[in-house]
Formats: sequence, structure tokens, C-alpha cells
Amino acid sequence: MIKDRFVMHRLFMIGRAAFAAALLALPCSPARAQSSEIVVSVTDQSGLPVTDAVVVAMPTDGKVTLPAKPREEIVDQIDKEFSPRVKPVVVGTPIRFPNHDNVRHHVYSFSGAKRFELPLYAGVPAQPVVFDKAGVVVLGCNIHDWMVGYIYVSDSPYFAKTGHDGKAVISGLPAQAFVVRTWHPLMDGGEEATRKSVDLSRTRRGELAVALKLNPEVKVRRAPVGGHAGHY
Amino acid sequence: MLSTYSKRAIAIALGSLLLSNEARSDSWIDVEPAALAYDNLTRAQAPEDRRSDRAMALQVSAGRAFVLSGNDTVDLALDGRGEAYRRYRGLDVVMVGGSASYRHKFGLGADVPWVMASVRGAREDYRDAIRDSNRRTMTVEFGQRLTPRWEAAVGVVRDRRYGDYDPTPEVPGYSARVFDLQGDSVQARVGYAPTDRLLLALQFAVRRGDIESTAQQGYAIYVASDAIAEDPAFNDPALYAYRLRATSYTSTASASYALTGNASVNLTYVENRARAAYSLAYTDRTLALSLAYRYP
Repeated sequence: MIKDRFVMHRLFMIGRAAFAAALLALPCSPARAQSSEIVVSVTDQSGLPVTDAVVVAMPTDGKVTLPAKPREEIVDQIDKEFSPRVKPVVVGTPIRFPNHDNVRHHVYSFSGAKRFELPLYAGVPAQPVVFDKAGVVVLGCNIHDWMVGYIYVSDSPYFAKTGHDGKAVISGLPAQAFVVRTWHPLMDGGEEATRKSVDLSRTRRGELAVALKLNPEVKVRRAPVGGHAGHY
Repeated sequence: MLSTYSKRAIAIALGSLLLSNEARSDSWIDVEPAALAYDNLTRAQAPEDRRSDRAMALQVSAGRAFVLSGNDTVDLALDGRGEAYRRYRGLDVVMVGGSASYRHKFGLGADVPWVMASVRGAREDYRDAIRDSNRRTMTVEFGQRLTPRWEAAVGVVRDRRYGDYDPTPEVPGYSARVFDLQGDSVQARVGYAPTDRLLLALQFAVRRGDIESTAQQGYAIYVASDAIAEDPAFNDPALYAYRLRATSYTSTASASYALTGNASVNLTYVENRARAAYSLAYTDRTLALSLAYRYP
């Protein structure tokens, strides 16, 4: 009798745990069904994965809801380089440029999407810079000419950047058709030439492969130049 | 020349700046070992007077950049160099020096024109004391990055060398201070970067001033020179050092390949052609292979 009661109690506990788990799972299921993703693999002309490529998904109807107040982002300066080197943000994003080096930097951009200058400073500038126009913003430092950074200001809230494996995942997408375009600082040609369509209305996951032709990077060299040919 | 007191003051000031806490923040140390080959160390015209040799060199410098504004930078550096020859050990030299340079950019961006003025002083001690001297060089250079791949610069240089050695003149009417030399140059250089790692450069300089040539006695060099002294560095009692007024044309070609952001391997070829009175003409060439490393 006692044994039967013990078995009944065990069964009751197991049943209660299963019910709780089912309750927890229920709210998640509809959300998963609504959220889709696009996985983009970017390679170069040699078939090698491309790091720091920005992929943007724009609904084919062109209708996007941009965040009213985008979250503030950061482009750091570490060891006399911009970090990250490529930063994708949505239109309207404020970005701060903290200087974590123990030398002063003088950050500027001449790009049409955002012209600005942060005169010689150390630490964190008091005000962020708001990037309110879509396009590519090329960053430089007037003290250290080799420092180059890129801010990609996206007109769509759906974007991602490739990692070392050359893959970018744009998640949280509504179930509809998208045009995906890819940009990289060294790409040959414009990003419009990379447009590809993905229809997520009948599938939750779309996969794309993009091959870019990259040009060699030419910038002011940081490495020392030797070549002292004697003093005699 | 600077007084001993002034030299000490400058050295202390430079040292204080380089070693201060703030200075460590944007300081650097450069180390550059090199192998060199000289085809005409004597700068002689006659083939029998030419002496060639190879040398190993090590140059170390420590510097500090002072950013005055977004457009203006001052660099201070202290450096030392040692050079050891394989055959002519009298040319072995230890050099200690310092430099200060001011650079101004005319605007914002990597491709705006710039001007740089620099002064450099160095003390050179050779194994054979006849060449011991102090050097001073002043340079003004104007340049611009023309495209992401091309850059160019032009400049003027004033060099002075003050030799210590002051023996009793051996030839009546001639000084023996053959290593008191001075000259003025104009120079132009162009750099091309085919890739982000490789930098090719060509430089051409024309210098009017004194040169030193070591040769056997001869009529032309005797009348063309204004200072003569025995030169023991080449182990040949028939060789004398002469100071001449000449025009020198120096062409330099170099290739620098960046191994990392801090290191590069460099190959440099220098050809120097000097023309003096009485149809005296000298050509000497130097080939150098070096590894340049910068910390941090």
C-alpha cells in the first residue's frame, strides 16, 4: 500500500513537471514560427571566406519600420586602429568613438553619408555622432594615417556582418520576400550588383552564397621602412 | 658648433622627454640590423685605388611623438648605430645621435600635402681616429600622397661634418682636416605601393659640396683638393685622403616588404656619382639588406 502510494506520488511529480515544461514551451512555438533567418556565405575570387562583409536584407516591397531611437553603438580605437574595422548600423544610430589608446586621435570622415570631425581628443567624446543618412562612411585619423575604418549605415533594420567563417546570419525576419545585397570595403563594383532574392513566406530559413571580387588593400603602411645604407 | 654645455643640456632634455611617464605613451623603439656591401669605399677613380668591403650594422633608436594639434607633430629621437667591416676594420664605427623633426599637414586626410623640417646631430667614433667627427644635418621636405598608391616628396638638405682630427699639415699650403665636410643638396623621391605590404621607392639627390676621396698621389687630385692627410684605414701607406669640391648625383632604389605591422625587410641600392674639377669622377655603390622592427 505504501509502495503504491509512493509510485503514485512519483507519477504525479513527473506529470506535473511535464505539464510545466509544456506550458513553458507553448509561448515559444508561435514566436519561432514567425521569425525567419537568412544565412549568407560570402567568398572571394579564390573561394576563401570573406570577413567583415555586410549583408543587408530589404523587403521587396521596400517597407521597413526603422527603430525610433536606435541603440547607441561604439567604434573604439585600440592600438591605433579602429575596432571594429567595419561597423554596420541602421540609419539614425548614434555612435561614440572612445579612444582607449594612450595617444590622442583626430577622427574624421569626408564621406557623403556623414562628414564629421572629432578634433584631437583622448578618452570618450562628450557627444556621439548620429549617422542619419544611409551609405558608407570611411573613417580616418589625421595623426595616424594608416588608421582606416568603415561604418555601413543601413536603410534596413535587417543586416549582419560576416565573421571569420565568411558567414552572416540575419535573424528575426518576417515571413516575406527580401532582396539581399552585400558590401565589403575592398569589393570590386557596387553592392547593387550583388542583389539576390530570397522568399521567406514559405520557409523559415533562406541560404545564399555570394562571391565577391576583392581588390588588394592599399592604405598608408604602418610597418616601419628601413633601408639605412650606411653612413660612411 | 655647440658648446659642451649646450650638448649636455640638449641630451638631458631629450632624455627627460623620452623617459617621462607621458613620453612612454607614444614612444617607439626601432631596431634595424643590416648587411651591407660597398664596392668603392675609397671613392677612388683609378681601379687600383678602389677598395670594396662588406659590413654588418645595427641601428637602434628610441623616439617619442608629441602631437601638438591635429595637423602638427614633433618627433624626438635618440639613436645609436654600430658598423663593423669585414676587411677594413679601421672603418668600424660607433655612432650616437639625436634628432628632432616637426611635421605639419595642410589639412585633414592622408592625401593632403605636408612639410617637415628636421635637425639631426651625431657623434661618430671610428676605430681609426682620423675619421672621428660630429655630424649635423638639417632637412626640409615637402610631400604629398598623390593617390592611394603613389606618394612624392622634394626637399633640401644641408649637411655638415666636423672632424676631430687636426694633424700638422703634411703638404705645405694644404689643410689636413679632410673630414671637415659640408654640402647642400636638393632631392626628390617617389614611392609606389603595389600592395599593402610592398613599398617601392626611388630617390634622386644632387649635392654640391665637399667629398672625401682616398687614392694614391696624383697630379689631378692634388690640384683639385684643398686638404690632404694620410689615411691608415685601408692598410696601404700609398693611400692618402683628399678633400675635394664636387657635385654628387645620388640615386637610391629601395624595396620594403612589411612582414607584420611592426616589421619589414628592406633592400636598398645606392649609386653615388661624384664629379670634381680636372675631370675627376667617382662612382660608388652600396647594397643593403636590413630587417626593421618597431616596438610597440
